Amino acid sequence: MSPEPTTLLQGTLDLLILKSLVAGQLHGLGISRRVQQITSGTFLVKPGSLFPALHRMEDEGWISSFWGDSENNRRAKYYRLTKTGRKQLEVETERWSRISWAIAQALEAS
Amino acid sequence: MPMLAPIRSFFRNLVASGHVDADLDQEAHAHLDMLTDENLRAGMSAEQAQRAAYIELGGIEQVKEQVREQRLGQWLHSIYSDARFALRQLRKSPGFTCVAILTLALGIGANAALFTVVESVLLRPLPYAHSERLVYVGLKTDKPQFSNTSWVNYRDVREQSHSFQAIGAYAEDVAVLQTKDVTNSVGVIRVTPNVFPMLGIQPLLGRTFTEAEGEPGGPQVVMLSEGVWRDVFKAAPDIVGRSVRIGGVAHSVVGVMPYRMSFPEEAGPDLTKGGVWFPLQPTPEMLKDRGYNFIAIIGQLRPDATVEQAQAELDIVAQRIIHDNPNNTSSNFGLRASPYLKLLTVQARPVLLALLGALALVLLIACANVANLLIARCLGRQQEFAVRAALGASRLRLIRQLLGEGAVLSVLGCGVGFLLAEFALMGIRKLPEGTIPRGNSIAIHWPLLLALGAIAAITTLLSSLLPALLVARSDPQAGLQAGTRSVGAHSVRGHMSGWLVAGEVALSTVLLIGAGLLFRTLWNLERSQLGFGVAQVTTFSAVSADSGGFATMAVSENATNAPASMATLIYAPVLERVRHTPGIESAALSSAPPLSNDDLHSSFEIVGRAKDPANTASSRVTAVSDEYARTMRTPVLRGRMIDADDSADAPAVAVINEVLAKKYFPNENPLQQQLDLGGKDTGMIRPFTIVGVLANQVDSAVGGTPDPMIYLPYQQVPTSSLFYQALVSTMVNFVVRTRADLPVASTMRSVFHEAAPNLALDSFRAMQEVVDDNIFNQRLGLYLTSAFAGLAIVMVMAGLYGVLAQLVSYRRHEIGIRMALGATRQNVAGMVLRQGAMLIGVGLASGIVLALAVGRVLSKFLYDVRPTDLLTYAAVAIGLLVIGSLASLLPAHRAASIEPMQALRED
Repeated sequence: MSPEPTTLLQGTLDLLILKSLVAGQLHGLGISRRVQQITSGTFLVKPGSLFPALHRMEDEGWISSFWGDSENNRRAKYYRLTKTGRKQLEVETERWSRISWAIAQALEAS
Repeated sequence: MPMLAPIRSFFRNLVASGHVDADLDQEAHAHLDMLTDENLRAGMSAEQAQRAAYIELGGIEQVKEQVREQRLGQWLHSIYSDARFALRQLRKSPGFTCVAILTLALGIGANAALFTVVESVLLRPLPYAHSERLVYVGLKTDKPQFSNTSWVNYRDVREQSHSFQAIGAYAEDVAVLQTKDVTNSVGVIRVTPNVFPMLGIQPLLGRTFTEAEGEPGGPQVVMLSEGVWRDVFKAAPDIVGRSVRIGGVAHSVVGVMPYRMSFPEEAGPDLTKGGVWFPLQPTPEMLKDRGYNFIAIIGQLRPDATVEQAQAELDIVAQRIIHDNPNNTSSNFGLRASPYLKLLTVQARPVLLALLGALALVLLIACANVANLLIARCLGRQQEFAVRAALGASRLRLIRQLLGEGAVLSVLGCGVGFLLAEFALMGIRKLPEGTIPRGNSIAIHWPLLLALGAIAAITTLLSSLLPALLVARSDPQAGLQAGTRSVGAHSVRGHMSGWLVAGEVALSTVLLIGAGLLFRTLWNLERSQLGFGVAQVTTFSAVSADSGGFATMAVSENATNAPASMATLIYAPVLERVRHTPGIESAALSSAPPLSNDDLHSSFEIVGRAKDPANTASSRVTAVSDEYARTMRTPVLRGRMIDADDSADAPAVAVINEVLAKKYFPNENPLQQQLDLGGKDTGMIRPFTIVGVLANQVDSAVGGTPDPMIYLPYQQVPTSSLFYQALVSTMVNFVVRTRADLPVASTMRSVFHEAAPNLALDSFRAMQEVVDDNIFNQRLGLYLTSAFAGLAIVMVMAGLYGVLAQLVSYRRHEIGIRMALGATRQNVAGMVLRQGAMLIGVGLASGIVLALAVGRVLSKFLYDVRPTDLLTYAAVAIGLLVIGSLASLLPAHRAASIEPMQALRED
């Protein structure tokens, strides 16, 4: 499957970013790699979509950011989930399950 | 703090967008570096690693741009969606929306109109070059005012001060302009030639004055106003160079001034319509007499100089003048520098600012009312908010929704208010000329937009922040569980609404007390002693066509062979003709009838009394004809009034007013005392023997204290004296008392046309009109304040009614229980009435305290009534209690008619 983030359904990117942050704080590249990893390389999130999404989600209060040192001692901006973000993850997860179940149903019907 | 995050980001976006960008830039670079590191670890060469990283990133600037776009888009989108949602909500309740918008529009419209006046009059610079540096220099009087000084003093100031880049002088005068067809009196301004360049005014046609034209005995030249050029000369293109007869002398026209040139502004709007400018050519009199106070000084400060510096210099100059001229300068002589615009508006400033203050109160009341309406709506929509909160709307989201509704209401209120302001300004433009200084410059300018923006922001915050915070504080769970009402929350809201209403009552109390005090003032003024009868009396001015104006004042050396007076030759015969005109009961001449603003002050000495150099006696001086007291119906208190026998050859006599008699003859009989009006210096050689005391006449302001006054027989003012031009030969006023309604102006014009064709008549006014105009400002102030107070009362009634009605409907259940337990309907009604009375009482008490505090501000507008006038306070208190009871009656009645069984079954 071609890794094309723009074909992601509205909200899916948010869901993936939130999910990637459940285990702990990550910087932008870390999030990108983590999404790649947990989707078995299906989705490659490019910086051009990643950063606007991160900033939007920060504005919504789902994630918060701070400057820290990366594993090889570079200054990097880290993101982590807020309480609202965890709630949002539940909402998005529930919504996505519903959608995927519905799509699966639709595809199974003949 | 999740709730603070969006607020923080909002400020980050708006306030610190530079900082955000730097942060983003750093983040993108860090990302790029980490990608490069990753590629290096994967075994790429340094160059390849960087290249691959760039490809994956897609360009730092592009990434940044995408983030920025997203951010702006979201911001705009959220504003748009908030506004759209608010509009949809408001459309659902058109009644509420209309009331709220109208309430705000009234408050905003009135404020916008008055702001426009304040901006145009007080703040907008005059249309002259560096007008903020224009400074008027006049005599130091007890308060800043236009007060002329003399040419000699002007010369000293010009030569001894260094704060001014340019300094010039001017003098107001009158003259008659004669052409083949017209004989018009025109306003004349004599200016030193440097005044026009200083003001930076270019003539419409021709040129301004040259230095040579300002020399003593210089050429007779004139500049016309655009009004005179168009009206009298039909805009003749060849006007420059033509000869025009003004004041009996041919003047060569050198230029025409455009309409916008109306210097000096204090001369009023007539100047642009019918004024001319002469170069100020100092006469021998001006050059030698330091007491010849006809000169106004205008200076332009150097860019680095301040008014204070100029004042310090003037103080030194004044000290030097006193020191050098001990004999003819009073020791309390002083000069004052005042910013020109400030001096021009010195009267209007406190009035306008006080009105603006009153209007701010009205706007506050309007905001409180809208806040109450919104709170009431929130109570009704509690469930809606609870559901929205339960479905995940953040508190901020709810607050934004309410603020959005408030903002939409405010913006619409501003729009409607702007239209109302336009109407109000149309009314203001219809006010009589001269009511407001610079009245013709009042127009809407861009600062109003800023002001409206600020007003909209403030009204939004004031009216919707409180309800928004209440909604945000409330617990959605309680809201959902309690069905239609949550007991805990609504009592908080009930209190809040109550406080708002009490606040409204307090502010209205202040407005009502202000209106009450002004009403008492006007009442007192209209019944104050004028010292003359107004009914059936008309005044008009007459300017002699051949008079050279006040500026030609001079003492003639040859006093023995002085020519005969115009008073004897022209005025006396024409007065005789006037008196024999059918319908005229009596007629007289006066150089300055009451409230005419024509004024001549002079120092005098009482013959046989030692001279006190520190405290020279001074008085207004007026020339009057016989029958003056009879025509004005002013009683003669002692002795006799000037009569027809006081001719030029008869013994010189004078009549004084009561103020002068009390001030200078406190314990003696003034009759037969003699007054010396300057002797050789002024040409008043003969002393005047006091033969009577006339009751005081109001002089410059109704309700004011009149100045001392000396009345001289008009035929006895020597033609060789300085006083002749000032009192007799230039401009005089006639007062006529008619028997029935008579077209005075046309009758008089035809009489004068036959008997004295050389006199140009002007300014026909009924005495009643003169008096009304004089107290117009108080009247206008009363009307405006009453209108504001009326507005406030209506809002208070609506607010009180609303709060009580709300309270009753939310306490139905409780009231039902009370009645089931034995409370009577009277008890219940009494409970609601008490609640209303408490709100009114608290508001009234704090309002009275507030009014006592601000009353001092008002005291300078009051006449014969103290700012703490008990009657006014009592009337306002009783009035508000009555109004409050009226507003509480309906809710009380509704509460009393609740059926307990029905109310209990409802939930």
